[in-house]
Amino acid sequence: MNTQAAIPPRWRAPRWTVWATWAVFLAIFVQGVVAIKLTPERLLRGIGNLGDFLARAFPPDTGGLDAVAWAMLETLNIAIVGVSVGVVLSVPFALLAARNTTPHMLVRSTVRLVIATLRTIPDLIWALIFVVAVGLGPLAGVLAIVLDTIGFAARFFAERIEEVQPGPSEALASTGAGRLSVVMGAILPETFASMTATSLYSVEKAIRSAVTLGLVGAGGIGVELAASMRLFQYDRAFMIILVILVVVIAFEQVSASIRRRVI
Amino acid sequence: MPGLEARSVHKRFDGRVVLQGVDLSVDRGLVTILLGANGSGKSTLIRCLTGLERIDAGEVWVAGERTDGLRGSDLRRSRRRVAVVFQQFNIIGNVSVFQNVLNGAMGRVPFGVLGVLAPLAPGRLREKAMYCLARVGLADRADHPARTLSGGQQQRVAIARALMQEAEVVIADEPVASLDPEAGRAVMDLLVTVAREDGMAVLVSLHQLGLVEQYGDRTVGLKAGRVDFDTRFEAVPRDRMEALYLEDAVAQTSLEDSA
Ligand SMILES: Nc1ncnc2c1ncn2[C@@H]1O[C@H](COP(=O)(O)OP(=O)(O)OP(=O)(O)O)[C@@H](O)[C@H]1O
Ligand SMILES: [Mg+2]
Repeated sequence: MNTQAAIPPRWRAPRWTVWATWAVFLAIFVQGVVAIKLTPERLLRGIGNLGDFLARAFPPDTGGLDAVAWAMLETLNIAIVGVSVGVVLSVPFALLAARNTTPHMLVRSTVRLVIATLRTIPDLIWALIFVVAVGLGPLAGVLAIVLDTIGFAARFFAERIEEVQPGPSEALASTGAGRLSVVMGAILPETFASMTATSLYSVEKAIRSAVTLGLVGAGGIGVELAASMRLFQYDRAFMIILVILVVVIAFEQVSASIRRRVI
Repeated sequence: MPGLEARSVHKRFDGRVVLQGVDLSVDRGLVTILLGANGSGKSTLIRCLTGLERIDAGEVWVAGERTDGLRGSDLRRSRRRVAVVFQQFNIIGNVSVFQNVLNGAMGRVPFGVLGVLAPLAPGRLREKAMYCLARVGLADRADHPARTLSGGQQQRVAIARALMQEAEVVIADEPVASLDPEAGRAVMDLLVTVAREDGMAVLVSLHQLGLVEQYGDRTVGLKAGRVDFDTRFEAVPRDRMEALYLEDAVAQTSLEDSA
């Protein structure tokens, strides 16, 4: 009886489909490099321009700091108001989308489709649409953040709700409590910590995106940044970038400490 | 009139018969113990009696009222009269012990959960909840998060919640299965008190034959979805109880499963 199997070879010739996939990928890559005219001299010139930008950006212009601070505050307002409204709306969306709390499977698939659509369309596009709808300014930014937050948070909330053990809900149902009481009495307390963490992350994400929303005129510090760049006031632009950096890092610290306390 | 009664209850899952005509009555003021091997249908019977599962045929009566087949608000009203204690306690770990006890009243107060939230609940309910906690010996833990309690303590909180419900029947599915012997006896003692002092009809499923003699006023043996013996009608020797767990009892289950 021969129980000894052969040692696997060091190398096995890949199937032709593997070769073909690599070949297609390489073709696309080379075509891409050619199409965007990625040449060494262009890169060198780019580095030169970057040096020019930095030279003109230093020292950062602290002149209009109060105007920049107000614009930054507006960005924070957009992010916080947008996320708060978005998170509050995400809870009912998530309850309708979670298998164990939805009133009907048809409702579930419809709501999931809506959430997926909100998530798939980038916030910048929502902002462009809302600028058309409600005009330039922070309101368009807030609305874009609301939709973006629902697309993100409702999905995570729904996933968390589906992970909840059925036991505690059954225990409350067997006291004769109604559906809504069971949800508020058992499911929300059990998911609270994770929903808080998701919401805090949404704010971090929203502050970053509220900055870029300003570039399309939806209010906040992005408007200032776009203006400075267009007017070649690189020193002012640099200061704005520094302010954004400080605020984003500061909020991440705050958010991390809240998260530690909740979980 | 018994507190709880099953009449020829049938239940199958996906064409597989689990309960085939169970007759059972649970008297007020007494503790009835339900025995049976793994898979004999104890949990299924209990879920049918509590209205967590619908039955395929037969009748379920709670204090003289038929409860099977109820839906919506009628179902909720009937659930209110039957308190359930679970093997896994099923208390809510992230809220206080006190809130967990208050939750027992959720089905019988106006506004459901809003009527029992600790900050909003009327003083009368808050006092009652404290009294229920004192009865299970955990009044000093009222303010603790429920998850910080030991298993035995959590099960006592579940019993306090059941008391808060002001039900007429208490059903417990293996309430001591994950507790040490000492904590298990404390829980069984409480269930006896609930029967004796509050006149509730108490049904408890168990795997510990050692507890039967001490706590059971009446014992019902379930074998492959049928009542094998009921000590109200016959005195059952210990070996008959042990026979519930023998190979042939289990083999019979799988045989009938495939039928
Ligand atoms: N929801 C369900 N769907 C399908 N089959 C089920 C379901 N619930 C129970 N069963 C089946 O019914 C049978 C009886 O299960 P049940 O849980 O009632 O037994 P049990 O007596 O409580 O056992 P244990 O002592 O292990 O708790 C088992 O064969 C089980 O697989
Ligand atoms: Mg069971």
